[in-house]
Amino acid sequence: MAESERFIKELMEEFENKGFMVNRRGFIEGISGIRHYFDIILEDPKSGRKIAFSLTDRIRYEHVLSILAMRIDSDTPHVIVANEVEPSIEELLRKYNVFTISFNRPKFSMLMSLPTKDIKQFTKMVTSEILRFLSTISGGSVT
Amino acid sequence: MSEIVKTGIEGFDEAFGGFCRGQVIMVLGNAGSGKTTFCAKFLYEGARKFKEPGVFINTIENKKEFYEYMKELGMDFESLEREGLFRYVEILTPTSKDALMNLSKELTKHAIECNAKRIVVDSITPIFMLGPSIEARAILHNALKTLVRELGAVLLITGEMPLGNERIGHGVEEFVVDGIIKLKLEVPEAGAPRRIMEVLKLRGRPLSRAFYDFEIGAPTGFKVYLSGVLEELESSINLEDRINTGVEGIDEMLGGGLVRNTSTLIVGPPGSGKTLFMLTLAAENTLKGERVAFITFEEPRQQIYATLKFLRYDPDELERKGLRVLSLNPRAITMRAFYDVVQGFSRLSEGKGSLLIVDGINSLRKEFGVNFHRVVRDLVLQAKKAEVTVIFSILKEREATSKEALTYLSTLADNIIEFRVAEKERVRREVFVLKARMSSISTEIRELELKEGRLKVR
Repeated sequence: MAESERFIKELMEEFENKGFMVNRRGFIEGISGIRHYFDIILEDPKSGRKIAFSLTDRIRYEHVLSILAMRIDSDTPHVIVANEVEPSIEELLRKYNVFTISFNRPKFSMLMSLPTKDIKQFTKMVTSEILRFLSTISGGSVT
Repeated sequence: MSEIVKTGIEGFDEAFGGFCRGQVIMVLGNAGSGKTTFCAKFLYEGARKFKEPGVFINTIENKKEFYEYMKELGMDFESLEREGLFRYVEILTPTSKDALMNLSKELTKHAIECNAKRIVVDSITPIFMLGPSIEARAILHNALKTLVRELGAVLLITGEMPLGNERIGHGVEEFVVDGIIKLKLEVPEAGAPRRIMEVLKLRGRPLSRAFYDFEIGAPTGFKVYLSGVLEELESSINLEDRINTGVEGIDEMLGGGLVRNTSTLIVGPPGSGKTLFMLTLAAENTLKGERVAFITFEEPRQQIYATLKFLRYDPDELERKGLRVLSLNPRAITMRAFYDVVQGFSRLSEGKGSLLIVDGINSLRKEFGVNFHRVVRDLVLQAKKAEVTVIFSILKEREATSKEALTYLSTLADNIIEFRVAEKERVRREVFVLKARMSSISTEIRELELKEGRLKVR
């Protein structure tokens, strides 16, 4: 199993254990009618609130428009885990409830090789970051 | 309310106040309609006047061509680039596959790096029209708006309209953008081309009227004409400050001469003495030290000089003393050229008062057609604002169309002096003052005489 698949599987389990409904390779139909694909769609059964999750290699300037377009049209907060995120766009995306978690952050650097034990650890850290992100937006509108 | 961003484009800000920060404005037009120049001017003045860095993303023209052309129009982008206030980015071969990613990359990267407050994408058409569906374009526009708002910038995107096509956008753009500005170049069968700006939408800004004339050219680059409607009408009038016509007797009929900074219409049939009167007025006032420009649409300059000699003036001396004689081909004159003459002339006179004499304004009627009245009105209002006393003549003909023009111009003019030819036992030239605002005038009809090369009334 590829490392990314292992990571996604772990992440799904983490959220399932926390009571979330987890949909692997899900689509959200946007306001425009376009169906947007995400690696995972998490749904809090209590609030019915959805959050989209993607795993990608890089987030650079060229991805900003499409990420924003998906975010606005799907009307769903979005978490993206990437190997590399252009630092100057991280803050910009965050303002629109697109939360990026990158391996190039020092705290994740130890997980670059991603052995099984570390994937679990990394998954827990990502889960905790996503939950923290959710708590920052749960007070008001998710979108 | 969002912060207003002045464009720095003369006339545009006076009409609309500018754009609002965070807005996406679409500038549409056929090829050659002036879209690139409008956008370039927006960036240029933003950097120059307001120190706002700008990014120009061009999908059509390369940097060298752009810099050279804009320099010809008085916009030196190289120096702005050196100061770090401008970036030029080329995406010259946008393809459907990577065009959007390229746009996203170049726009975001350069805008963030130089903290751009003004961004132009010229043109969006090849990027948006090759691939995405209408729905995808709608959400991409929204994403663009979000990005621009976050950057605290204003984005102008240009869109191509195929020649002969009046369709705006491609079914979605007109709804999602904050403003739509349509530029047009009208080339009539006869007469000068006319450039028209149509503002179809501008969120947050008042749209009191839709059409504006504009011109492209050095030194301003791009200028919108307000046609006097939204401008406050201004003039500086002092009833004691009068200009003598130089023709014995006429000043007395006018109650002491023409009040400075007013407009005077000279009316008469061919051969009634209009040109002789206006040339006398031009020559006498030049000799008194006034700044005088004489524009004719009917005779070459050499012919005007010959007439001056006939009136016993020395054209060379008059020229040395500042008389400008311009013989213009009405077929070739643009509205801009006309206004520039007035404004350039006003600058030349350095506020010392000046006279603009236009002989044969009816020639313009044939060229400007239905716009003739507006052109003359603008000329008069611009002249008054610039403290230029304007005197213009029109041929009085018997045709109904001529009468209509005359009626309109009569309302516009502060003073009307009519010349006529009476045929009884002999041909006799006559003159009378029909109207002189702010003056007590003589109601007499008097004979105009040409004696020893000089005009006078009996």
